[in-house]
Amino acid sequence: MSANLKDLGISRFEYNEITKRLGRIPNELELYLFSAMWSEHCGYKHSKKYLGLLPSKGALYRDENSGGIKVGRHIIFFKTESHNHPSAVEPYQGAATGIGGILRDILAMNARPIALLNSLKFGLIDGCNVSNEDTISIRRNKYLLNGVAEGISDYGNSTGVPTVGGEISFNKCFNLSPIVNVMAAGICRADKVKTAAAKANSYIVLVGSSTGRDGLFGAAFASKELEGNKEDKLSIQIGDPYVKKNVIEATLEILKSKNVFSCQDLGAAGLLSSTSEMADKGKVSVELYLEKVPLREKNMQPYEIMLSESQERMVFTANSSGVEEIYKICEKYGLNADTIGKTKKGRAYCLYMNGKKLAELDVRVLTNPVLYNLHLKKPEYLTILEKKCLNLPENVNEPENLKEIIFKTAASPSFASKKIVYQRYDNTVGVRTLKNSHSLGVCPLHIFEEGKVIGFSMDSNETACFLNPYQGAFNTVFESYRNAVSSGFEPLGITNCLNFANPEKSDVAYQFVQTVNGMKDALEKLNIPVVSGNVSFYNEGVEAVSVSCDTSKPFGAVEKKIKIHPAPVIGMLSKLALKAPLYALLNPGETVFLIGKKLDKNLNTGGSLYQKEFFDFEGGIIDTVDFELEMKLKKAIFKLAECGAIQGCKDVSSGGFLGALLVILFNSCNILKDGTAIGFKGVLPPDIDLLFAEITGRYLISTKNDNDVQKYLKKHKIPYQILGKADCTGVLDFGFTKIRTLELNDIYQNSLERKFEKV
Amino acid sequence: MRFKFGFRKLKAGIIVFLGTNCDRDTEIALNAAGFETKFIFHTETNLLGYDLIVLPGGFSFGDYIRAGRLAKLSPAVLALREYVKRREGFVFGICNGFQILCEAGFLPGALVENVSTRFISRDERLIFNPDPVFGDLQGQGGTEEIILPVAHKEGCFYADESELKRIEKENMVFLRYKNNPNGSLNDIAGLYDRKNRVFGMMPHPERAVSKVLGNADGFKIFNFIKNEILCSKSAKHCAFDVLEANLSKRGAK
Repeated sequence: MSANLKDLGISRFEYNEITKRLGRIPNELELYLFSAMWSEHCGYKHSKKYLGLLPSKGALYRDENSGGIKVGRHIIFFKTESHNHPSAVEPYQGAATGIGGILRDILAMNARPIALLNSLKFGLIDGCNVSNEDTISIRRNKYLLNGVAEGISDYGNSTGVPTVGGEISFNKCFNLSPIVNVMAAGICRADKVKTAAAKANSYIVLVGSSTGRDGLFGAAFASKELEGNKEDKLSIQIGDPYVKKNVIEATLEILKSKNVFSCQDLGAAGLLSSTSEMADKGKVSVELYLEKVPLREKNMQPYEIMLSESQERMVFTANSSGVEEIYKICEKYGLNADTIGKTKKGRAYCLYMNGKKLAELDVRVLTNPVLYNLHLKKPEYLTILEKKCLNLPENVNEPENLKEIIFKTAASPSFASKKIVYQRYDNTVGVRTLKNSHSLGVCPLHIFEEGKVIGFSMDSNETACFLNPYQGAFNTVFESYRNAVSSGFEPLGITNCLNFANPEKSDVAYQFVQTVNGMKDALEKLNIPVVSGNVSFYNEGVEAVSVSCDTSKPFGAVEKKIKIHPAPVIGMLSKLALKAPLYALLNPGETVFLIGKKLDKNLNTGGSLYQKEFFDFEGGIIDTVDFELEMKLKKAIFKLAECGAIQGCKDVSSGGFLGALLVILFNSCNILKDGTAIGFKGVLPPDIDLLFAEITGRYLISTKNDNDVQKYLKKHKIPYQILGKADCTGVLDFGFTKIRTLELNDIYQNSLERKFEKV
Repeated sequence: MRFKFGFRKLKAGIIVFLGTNCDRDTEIALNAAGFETKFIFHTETNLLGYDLIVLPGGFSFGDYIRAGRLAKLSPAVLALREYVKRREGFVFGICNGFQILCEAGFLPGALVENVSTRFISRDERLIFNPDPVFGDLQGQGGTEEIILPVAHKEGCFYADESELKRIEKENMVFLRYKNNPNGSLNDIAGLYDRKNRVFGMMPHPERAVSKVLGNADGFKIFNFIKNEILCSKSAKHCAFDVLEANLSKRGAK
């Protein structure tokens, strides 16, 4: 093996720092170890300084594999993880092993996984007037979406953990680098939690699959931009859900033992990062004997054994009787279990092979990479786009056009029902998922151990964060908050997954820092802690622009880098605050109110789905949050729901209030007995930009007692507007146009499926 | 009250294969339906003393080769043959359990990949017909519409023509899909072989036994099985239980 610093991703500055801290020149194996532990993926070297700003009051075990929030006598652990880079190259395995990884993080806390969610973002999967290149990327994006969905379906379903929800969106900035973020949640009795910290003088036992070359350099791979090399495929891990299911059961059985002290999963940088973190957190020395590691390939080099990211492996520390117990349990589940090392007093990290010492490092040097300050510069595009304004065509508000737009909205991939994807996920295994969970803003789970209902949601808005990183992130937190409130849930804590391009570029660094600031300010206002998180940088791809497109360089292909929009994803845990959840459903006879900010020509309508989908326009100024109003609205909804005055509620987000109204109607199409269809009669302002504007601080509520609700809203000075009344005519009568509900519903439910049939 | 008189609860054994993932769900549901439960690891062969053996859902042995192919060779399923032959009690397979029962020949037909080739997870309307011969359990001509979750990739019921005829002739179908989600022949969702006392169904009744979750239709399936056990001659129960079962039947009439 011959290592060259550039290939290892170690800068000259970092190399000098390593030499200085060690007091000597590292040998080749040691350099490999540093290349993984000091990578962005393991070391968070560009983000750590900024992530510390996020509020943490109320969060437990924040520095462990996964943080959690106390609910009664139990702790709910939850965390997100990104698997963007692997999924771009090999969507099926990329998504599957992403789930595998996040489940292990939860499992390592001795928590039984109870839910999975995901946030997926792809490039466009349809479009009008598409060029040849677009057709190729559309085909590729469909392939990616299908592969990711299949991977999540096959892997998640087999492990017996329900995939209860998530979000999917499409934007052309993800054409070359899709976003695959997965979130897992688990439950553990507060007194049974296990951490990674190892004790001195115990044995280190490796459990699970044997170690192969798959996923080698995975951590380093995820810490650079995708270049489309064939070798990138070698960095992909391969998952086995059957073994994972056995690892889950075996781990939970092993961790019941008092003779087992700590547990750590093998994820990025495999054996190396797990054992070094155990040593670091437990303040002990670790000695590993590499010949004891069961291998599935011949002639594996020490660095390959240490850096392999073979899936379905866990490592435990235990005393001698604990080791016996581990062996016995693993035999039952058909898993490997081998004692591969020992812990001692001290702070050294030593590797041996057949009695020969290969490496000896101070564990503190290994696990504490150089942290960077980011160089920020406000990107020029921000001021340019802010001033841009969408000039709508003159005929846009004519009834015929409005009708067409409503049909097009129902069919647009970002808005249409994603059931083609989520019906592939087993969402009811575990008997915790409430019925009709898809008609709620959060995914409700019954914690029967506590007799409580909790909810999870995942939210993001890359367009808003692109136009204004600070305000976009701030609004995203509030959107997540409104999702919970609209269903009658009280937010408890969040986890985040921050997806960005290359942070070494000053404009991306600016986006990142502003996003963290926006999130911090919003969370502090709401008094919600961040319990765990993940950062994914270098999400950009190189596009080969064909010769004809670029006239300045007429000969030879030109390469163009495409950066993703800043995409902070928020995963929220909430607790049911009412007797029963408030569904986004509508029954005939109920009146629909729009409560919150009043529609006004002076509102900032930038960044809406409507502008993006129909005019390919991302620009303008995005709306800000009125904190006082948000609090008043929450109080009103909870109060009115508690006394039975309102029957349904939905927050207004993507697609504006017309979008929200349509979603409620579509949800309600299935609840009526066959033969009748829900209808709606009301007068809407025929101003299309306002109908679809994504203004903050608004909800739709449906009620049978118009008078009581009006009285309450007037008394508390909450602006409201009556939109209309639901009936059983089967017709949507908006004043300016009439549409058959079932016809529109069919388009909403099935348009995505039809798009896939056309591949 | 039953305990006061020294009656015992019905005892159900839940076979746990490697890869089974509905074992704990099934335990919760059976307990709620009034059964006493115990897990039976797939290497065990002692099935004595159980009124009901349940094969729960999941992916036994990773569904390698095909669903149920490896599970049918496990010691517990081999012991199950004797259990059925000697009429020691009833057998109930849910989802993967149904696939295993068909694969091992306890029930006719086979479960093949859904027509859509995709996994399907959703609530499904079903026609429940507990007693196709004499049944008027709910006074609705013997059938009742219930809603249960389905979650499977290989749930399309298939049998050749003659076998399908026999299935229908012997009134084995106790559960049919209303809107067939997977392409099953004759909309078959569940079979009950009265002669051998074997039940099998694709939908998940164990996931619908909770008022908090909003669906308790699963109890109808478990109560049906309970009644069948209590009414069978071999059940070594006191008359009270049988009486209670019969009363509930008659009361419904």
